[in-house]
Amino acid sequence: MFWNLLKKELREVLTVSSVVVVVVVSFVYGFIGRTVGSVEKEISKKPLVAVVNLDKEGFGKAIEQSVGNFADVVYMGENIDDGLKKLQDNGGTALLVIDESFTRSIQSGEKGKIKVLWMLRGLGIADTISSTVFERFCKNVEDQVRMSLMTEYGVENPQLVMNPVEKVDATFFNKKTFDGLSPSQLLNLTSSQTTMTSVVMMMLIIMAGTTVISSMGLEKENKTLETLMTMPVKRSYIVFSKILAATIAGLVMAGIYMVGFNFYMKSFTISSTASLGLTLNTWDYVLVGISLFSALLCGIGMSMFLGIISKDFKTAQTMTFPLTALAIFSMLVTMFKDFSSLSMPLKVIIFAIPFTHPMLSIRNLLFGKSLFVIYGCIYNIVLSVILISLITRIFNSDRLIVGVSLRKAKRQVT
Amino acid sequence: MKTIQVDNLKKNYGSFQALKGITFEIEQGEIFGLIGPNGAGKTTTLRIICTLLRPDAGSVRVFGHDLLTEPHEIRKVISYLPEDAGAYKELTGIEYLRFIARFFAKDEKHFNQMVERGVQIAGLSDRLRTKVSTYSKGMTRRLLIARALMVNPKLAVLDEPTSGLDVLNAREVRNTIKEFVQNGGTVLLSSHNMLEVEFLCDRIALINNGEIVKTGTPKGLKEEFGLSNVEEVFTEVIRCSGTC
Repeated sequence: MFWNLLKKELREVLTVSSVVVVVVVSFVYGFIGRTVGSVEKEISKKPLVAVVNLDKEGFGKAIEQSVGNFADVVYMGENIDDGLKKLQDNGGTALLVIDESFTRSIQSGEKGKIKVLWMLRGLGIADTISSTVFERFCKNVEDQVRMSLMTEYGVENPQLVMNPVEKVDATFFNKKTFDGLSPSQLLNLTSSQTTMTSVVMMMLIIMAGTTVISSMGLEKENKTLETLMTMPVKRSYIVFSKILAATIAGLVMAGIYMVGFNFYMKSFTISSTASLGLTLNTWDYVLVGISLFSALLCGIGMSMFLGIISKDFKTAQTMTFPLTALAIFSMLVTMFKDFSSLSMPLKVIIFAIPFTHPMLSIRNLLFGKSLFVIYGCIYNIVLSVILISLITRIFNSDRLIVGVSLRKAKRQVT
Repeated sequence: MKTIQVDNLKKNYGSFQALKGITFEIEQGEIFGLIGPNGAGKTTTLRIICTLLRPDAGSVRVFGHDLLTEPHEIRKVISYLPEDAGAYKELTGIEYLRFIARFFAKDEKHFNQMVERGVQIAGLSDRLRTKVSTYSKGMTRRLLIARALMVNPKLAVLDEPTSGLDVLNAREVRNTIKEFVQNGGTVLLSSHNMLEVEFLCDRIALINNGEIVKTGTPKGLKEEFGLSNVEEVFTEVIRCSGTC
């Protein structure tokens, strides 16, 4: 008796669609796991650096000797331009410049100066790992100097002993130099704005997508769609009104979320990106809006397709998972890695996911990459047109009633 | 005038032959019943006529309009009620009737007339102001019958119109259908209920395994087989379908 019941329950719960969904979600997490794995590898890897030592005395020499323990040195010399060129050629992380009066300054009771020019390739969390590793070296330099000072002079000048080195940071990213900022500081400043669009986009796709898929499942179950399709109304109108209504509802939700989320983020943000000259103008905001709208249109189109292939309300609910997984995947990958620092196959995959574009739009517009945002909008609009056409074709055929199959239709009722 | 002309209609679902070449015609002002066991092809036939499914072979003309080339013209003159259909649960009954009337009304006056007719047919009085989600099955079915007939279609296609209804509700629905035909409409319906078929239909087609095995008036068929009711005729015809 019990086995009979168990067998029946398993057949109800373990359907092909639910298994497919789990496989897709597992793939997403597997990929994220692999990315995290590579982060661990990245942390243990020595960063490539160039050192320009203009100080030929004690402390400068000591730094020169110890830097090899923390980094792979691609240039060691006295010419900043040569060092920079070598660094760029080798795709290095930072150029360390030791001031010519470094040792003398410390010995005379003043702070010794070092300058670090960071070469940042992306604004993802993983993109700043190598610079974080080298930051540790800079801290170590300070510790070394502090130790020498304490050994030699005791604590005569405690203020100097506690803080003997003045490190000046500058970060070179996207053909622009940000003076006074390390990569992690730059990342923190920009991520407050980019996180907002990513989270809002993800939540919207999950909410709007789930609503559309469920509504399609319910319409099929209640046969309201069947009734509607026998009315004297163009089927393309049925499709487009459904998609547009869900998109408008999504945009209204986006507006409400953004206001709320903005207040939330403001409580964490100390200074704004405006102080760095990174601001968005009206045209940029229009682009962000178009990007959001077009991605939402694609997401709802995809939801509708998933809703069509679901048999009923129950199946429709399981169909929401692939969409959710896609939105989470897109959000996590773009948070971990900057688009520009991804491998080519991953670039193609990430670009193909329509939700990526609004998630990256603010970051790209802040750094003047408006062309990328425009391409993203064009891609999304083309994709949504394809999706709407495909759905309209399904609506015009009898596949909505008998189920979607790959068999080519010979005759079509239009 | 011929309302529907179905000629050698075939439909396959994969390797399963749902319709194997059925042919029938319906005159204007008739109630024509498609009668057959489950899976015989009744709903498939109705869905094809209502432009929901495309045929694999054969032809269908509704009021002279070809199904494959003029489906939109057909949708203007028909009204379809699927079996076990529901309505939009977030709308009230009256909102649902108004929503449907908008597709058919030529102007505001026509629209108001349609809704008024819908209210009368539904007979749900004040309950039309409450959401459909609060309706019983009988109330929903009455609302849907009202929706189907209020637009005054030339042809009403009703799939099991009284399925799942209690005796009183079913009787009311049958009377509504009769009244609709008396006012000049034509009805194509499918049913399992033989009493209903005998009471309602002017002519019936018995369908089995995707084929029409017998067509005629209920009276004529009873006489032909020397049996007292349509149920016995149906059993006899299905029993010896293709062998007797």
